[in-house]
Amino acid sequence: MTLTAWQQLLDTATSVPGVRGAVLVSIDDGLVIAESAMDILPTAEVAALAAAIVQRTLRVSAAASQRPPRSVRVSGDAGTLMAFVADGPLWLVAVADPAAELGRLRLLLGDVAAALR
Amino acid sequence: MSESGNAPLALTIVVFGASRSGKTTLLRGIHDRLGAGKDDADSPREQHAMPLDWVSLDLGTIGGRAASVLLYAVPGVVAFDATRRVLVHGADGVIFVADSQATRLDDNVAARNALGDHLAARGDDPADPLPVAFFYSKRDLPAELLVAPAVLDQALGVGAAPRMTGDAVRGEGVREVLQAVLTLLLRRASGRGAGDA
Amino acid sequence: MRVLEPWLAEPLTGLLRESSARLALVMTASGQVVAQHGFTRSLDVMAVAALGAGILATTAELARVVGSPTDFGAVVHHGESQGIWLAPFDTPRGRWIGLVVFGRESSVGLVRMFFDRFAADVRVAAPSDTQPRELLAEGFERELDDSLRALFGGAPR
Repeated sequence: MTLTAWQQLLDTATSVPGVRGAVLVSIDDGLVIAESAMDILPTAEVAALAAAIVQRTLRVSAAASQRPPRSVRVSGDAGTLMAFVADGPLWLVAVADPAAELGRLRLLLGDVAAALR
Repeated sequence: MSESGNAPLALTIVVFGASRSGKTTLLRGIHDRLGAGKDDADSPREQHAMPLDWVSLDLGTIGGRAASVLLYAVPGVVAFDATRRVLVHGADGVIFVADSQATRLDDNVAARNALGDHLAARGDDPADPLPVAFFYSKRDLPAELLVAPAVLDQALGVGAAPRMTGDAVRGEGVREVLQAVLTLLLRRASGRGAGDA
Repeated sequence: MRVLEPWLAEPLTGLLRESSARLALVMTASGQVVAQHGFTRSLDVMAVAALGAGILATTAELARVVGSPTDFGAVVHHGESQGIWLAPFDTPRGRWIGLVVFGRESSVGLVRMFFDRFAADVRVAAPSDTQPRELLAEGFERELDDSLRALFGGAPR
């Protein structure tokens, strides 16, 4: 898949109202591969921290002899972070406002992550 | 750490010279003659068995500041010219080691010219040049193999710079050349000027 | 932890804690260690610092040779189980270098993020020293002589 195709899929992921940005992250090194985000979203930091969360979650599930998770969601007062496995070490990460329609976002991210494979 | 809160003085001296002129032997000479009782609690004792391309010395408190010095032997091989240049660029002082054997005179002069180029590239204020001290190594060899120090002085353009002769294997002249270059660079660091008596 | 200047302790602790890195060294541009934290006991810290400073000096020279208007910034070496982050940063004391060793519990992105914060914290924490050249107290030549005689104990005069 080309970088342009990745970009178009990420733009799709941000079409839900309240989504601040979507980032394709390399979980192994916590770096941004591609992004579609508002200027105010610090995507490099989102990628680094989301990768740390996903890595730990993968390790926890391995330690508990569970199958690796396909998605991770972290919610707080200021918003929600959702991460979906895309292709191997690449994960799709989105950050949304508290008011965003999370159900719709979840469905859309699942589709986009599948299309990224 | 300095108790007075003054910033520590971290000095770097580059040991420059032709290939096989005795640079690493000089560092070994410095290292091997270090007295006991100065061991840093955090540094492994195995450090004393390491190859000596560099040596670090804790000088204690000098002029109210904690002072330490790191000595690097710069590769003598011309192929490493870029490395030599960057090391000289970051140096606070230079010890130039010249091989005293007559057969090495041309090599010494070539290395001295290279050092001159690197020093010129630093762009120091001509009134405040980088301190350089000279050490003529291998003076323990038979006299018929050696060049007279005065001949080397002239060939290398030593001028008023400190110059010591010695034998790094036995440690002769090692402390003296270190002290000479450190004195110059501390004078420079103190703002008193390298040329002041 | 060892720090030559106490105000470095807090930013350095933060860097290691937040990034989950294994060890961090701070050194001058010429490779002299200013601070160390983490699993450094098994390491020849001076050698690591000198080699790290050498790598950055070499890449700066490479930048010059290929005509880059600025240095390359950070250098990352990524191995099978460990990585090294090596980057210069400016402080009121001049240009310093940070060397961070990290394992699989961290990542390049995480180290970069918290290293940037560390460099910013150091800039804030560093005492504003308006005197670039601090004069040495009188008598330093005698102190140097004493120090070298003590170091070279028993050396022939």
